[in-house]
Amino acid sequence: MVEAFGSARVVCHLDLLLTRRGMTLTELSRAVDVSLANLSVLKNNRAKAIRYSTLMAVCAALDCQPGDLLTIERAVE
Amino acid sequence: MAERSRKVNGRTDRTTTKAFGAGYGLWVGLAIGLFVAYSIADLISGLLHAEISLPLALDAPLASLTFPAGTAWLVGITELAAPTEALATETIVFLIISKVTLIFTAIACAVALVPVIRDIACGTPFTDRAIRALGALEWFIAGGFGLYVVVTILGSNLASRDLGIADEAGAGISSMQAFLLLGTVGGIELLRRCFSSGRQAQDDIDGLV
Repeated sequence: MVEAFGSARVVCHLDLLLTRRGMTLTELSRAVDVSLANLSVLKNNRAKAIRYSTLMAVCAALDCQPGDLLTIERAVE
Repeated sequence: MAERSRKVNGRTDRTTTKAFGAGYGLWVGLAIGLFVAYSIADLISGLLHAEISLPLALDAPLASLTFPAGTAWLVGITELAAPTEALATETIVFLIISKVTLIFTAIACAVALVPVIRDIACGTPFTDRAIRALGALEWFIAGGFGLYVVVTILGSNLASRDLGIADEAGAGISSMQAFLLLGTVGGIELLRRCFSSGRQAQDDIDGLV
């Protein structure tokens, strides 16, 4: 995610989860009823915020937890 | 005036808004307010003069108007001012209910429009509040005018019975008015969906998924 707080940023691991589940972004888009463009924004770490409803739908479709999808990376000082 | 602040591109932008949305709400409120005031005045004035106005559709030429050049017959939908003594109690009740329904529907529509106009005036039209208000406006119009139509048909039919012109006059509601009602409700639903799409587009621009 582009929003950075100091030296930390939120990273989305959607591409990794999609590969593990053998699902394409298009299939995920249909499953969670979120546009392909928005999922692409999420996948490429360009999203600024995510709705709980979107987070829950994606986690349900990929059978994962929010912590699997999003992690915080801190810059090494 | 009310001070509102919102974040635009990370900056806090404070804008002052007038209570009636920079005048737009005032104009709409004025139009609806004048209609409501006129309707109430018309109803009270009529009752004070022991008469009540009612719409009737004249199917046969019942009344003629004499002009210097000749005579013309009154046909179609017209508004009659009938004396209350010539009408039955239930007829007067129905006619008063129809007028009151129209007045309250106009007031409810004005109240429903306030958040829409305020948000448009603030520059953020696609809010959940405005979208919900448009939905409420649809229901007020559909329900209120639907009830008005039903009660007016009953009242004007009873009035034509009381006045002894049941065969020559019908209810003063035309199919054109029904189409107008459907068109208005459909138009507002279209606008509500546009606002929803606009909200979606705005969220997309803001980077919210």
